[in-house]
Amino acid sequence: MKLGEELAKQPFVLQARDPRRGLRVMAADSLARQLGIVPSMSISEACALVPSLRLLDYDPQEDLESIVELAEEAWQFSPLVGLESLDEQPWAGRSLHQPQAIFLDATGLTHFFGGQAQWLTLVTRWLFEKGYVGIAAIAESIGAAWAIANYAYRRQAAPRLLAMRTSPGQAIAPVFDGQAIDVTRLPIEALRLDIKTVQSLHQLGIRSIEALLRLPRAGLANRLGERLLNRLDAVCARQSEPIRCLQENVDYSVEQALEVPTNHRETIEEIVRRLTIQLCKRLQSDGHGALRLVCCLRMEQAPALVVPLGLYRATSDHEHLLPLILAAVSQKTSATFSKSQKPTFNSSRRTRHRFNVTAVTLSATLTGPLVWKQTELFECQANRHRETLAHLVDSLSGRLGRRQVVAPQIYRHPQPELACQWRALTGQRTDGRPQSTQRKLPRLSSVEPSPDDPLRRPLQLWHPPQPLAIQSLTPDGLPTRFLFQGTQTHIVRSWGPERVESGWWQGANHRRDYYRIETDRGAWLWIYRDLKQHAWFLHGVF
Amino acid sequence: MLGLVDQLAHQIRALETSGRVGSDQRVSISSGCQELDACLPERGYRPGTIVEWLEPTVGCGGYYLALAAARQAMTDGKYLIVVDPAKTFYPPAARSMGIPIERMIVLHPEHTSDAMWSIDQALRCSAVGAVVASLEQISELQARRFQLAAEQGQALGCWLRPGKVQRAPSWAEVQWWVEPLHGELGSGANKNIRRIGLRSLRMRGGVVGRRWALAIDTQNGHLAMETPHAITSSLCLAAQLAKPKSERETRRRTG
Repeated sequence: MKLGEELAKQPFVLQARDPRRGLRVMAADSLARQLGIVPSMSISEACALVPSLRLLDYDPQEDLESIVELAEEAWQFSPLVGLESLDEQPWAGRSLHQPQAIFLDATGLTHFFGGQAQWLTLVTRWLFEKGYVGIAAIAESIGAAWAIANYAYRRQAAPRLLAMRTSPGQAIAPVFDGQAIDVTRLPIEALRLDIKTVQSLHQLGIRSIEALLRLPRAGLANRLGERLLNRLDAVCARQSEPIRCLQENVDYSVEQALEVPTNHRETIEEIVRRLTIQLCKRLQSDGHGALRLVCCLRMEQAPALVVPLGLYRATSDHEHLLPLILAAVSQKTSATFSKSQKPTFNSSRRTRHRFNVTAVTLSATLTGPLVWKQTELFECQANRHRETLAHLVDSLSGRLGRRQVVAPQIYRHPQPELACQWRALTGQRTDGRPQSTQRKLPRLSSVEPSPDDPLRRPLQLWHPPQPLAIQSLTPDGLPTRFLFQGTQTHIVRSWGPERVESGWWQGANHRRDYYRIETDRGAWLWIYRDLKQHAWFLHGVF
Repeated sequence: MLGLVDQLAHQIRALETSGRVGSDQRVSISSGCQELDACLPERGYRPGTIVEWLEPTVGCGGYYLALAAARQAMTDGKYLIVVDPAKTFYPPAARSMGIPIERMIVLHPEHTSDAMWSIDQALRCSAVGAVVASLEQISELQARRFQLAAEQGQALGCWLRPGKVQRAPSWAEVQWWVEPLHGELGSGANKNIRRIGLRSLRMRGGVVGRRWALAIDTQNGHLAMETPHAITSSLCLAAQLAKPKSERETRRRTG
């Protein structure tokens, strides 16, 4: 979970709709957890516990993108990085059916960092600096590391995690004392089993891995399936489990190590240029184009500088890619170095050496086919525009940031502020867009007012709504005069009310009466009366 | 005689517009109102130019008119770029105006310099039909840069600007002053009409200082022009006070 300033003010949860059980809590912040809210709880129950609970929609796509970005940066600690592979059914003890763990292959490399404990401390500190609370563990197998991190260290750190909001302090590093933790004493949920299997085992009175190991293997396989045995073997390091590497194809990664480390700008740019051409040739030969690129500059003593770059459409044009990569590297370099010690010619020799680049790696982490699918017999103008636009979007995203160049997604939601969400345009697979989460509501009849009618919704929506200082009201309770931008404003005409009400099942419900008003200064505004707070707010401008 | 007058008028217009009137056959971009197009020197806005709407106060209708023109510029699969640093733009309202949101890209730059750079880049792109942005203060150099960028990409730059920049130098082809007009209270069909007054502050090849009254039907979003006599009678007090002093003085002198 990422920590942020605005999240510290109010307890909040992420909600999502379960097809069978309705709206559920997918994740809760530490403040909400302290008040008794746990993941998988129904939203109505959570709202009954904490009436002031803030509800945000859980976006699985954004969650996935965030962890992929994190995994890409984790290459500074290991050359083999992957996300946890999910099963068809969600695992017991997990509220989300989403990858939440990153696997790093630490075989034979931890001594470069001063040992396993130091390597783990570095990883957790890096996570903390990124704004995340991470629990890390090293073990002989993936299964054991996952089990220890989730069911040994995480439980130990739980009280400290809850106190995180009041005293952030240092990164929560696992208690690593060099002794192997006995994984057999962990609960059976640590085996990454589905809920049904875990329930069956609980009915048999088996709650720990140790108890499970005492049972005959043949019987277990017959009754509960092969997967249980595979997971058991993986935890006990009897069976190797490969890391499903994040990178689709290892061929789409090129690297150049420097014999003499340098921080000479032109030299590094030349290396990046050569690597870009090399990578583009490989992509072209396979008929692929890059959708996401990661450029990694390994430093002599400082942490590696990882620069991700998202693209609007798959491309292998090095002339297009090179300026984007160089601009992104330059931007990240200045941002990183300004935070710490900026290497200058006047700085000490030791400081300069710290930022010397020892190797440059360029990888295409997400690729797509180069050719657009032809849907029309003749090439139309729109296709040409789409290609031209791709260059513009890439350069805009490169400078402004990926999340600043967006496309709107409109949902049918009663709350106006939740009826529109933004989707980043770059770094996504063109054919893998997520399904629309828009609920299929019955079609509104033509008699009823529709939010789609022109001038029914304002062109500018203020978030959060601004409280209005009402100066006089009509006998019906409608305002006639209020303060707007510091001046007294009279209402000349008004249309409404339009009742907007969110359902009780959607958490803290909102009841608002909206009015379109025309002021004596000629402005058309969208105001509402909050029926719960008995207050007036300005929400938008037409 | 009439032919000679027409010829002279054409020559004057050609001089005023640097010889562009009638020089090529490119289709102009409609303002969203056919009657208003007929009053513009090129029967609409010329692609690759800047149009500005100056509002005395927010919510006067300038944003609606800018988006109405931007929608017309999205022909041939061209895209609309909305530069919105304040993050207040609300796409559902734009969709209800008939703007295809699948061809709309919104930028949320965090710094002014980034916003200026983004507008410049977007205007230069030939796939972009229109760029809509709220601009308060821009330097003359920047304004000129935008104009050249628009010429290069043939995009329409639609700027929303506050009324206080009226006297600032501008490189806009057309500059409108958006005047709020009040609808008549409770008069049947007029109840669903939003009225907006327009005054041309700057128009290359056209008449400056002329007024038009537009009416938006809130039921169907149709934008039409009202009869001329309805304009002056319904100007609200704020709009009359917002008139520049020089113009009021001129009118007083002329009687």
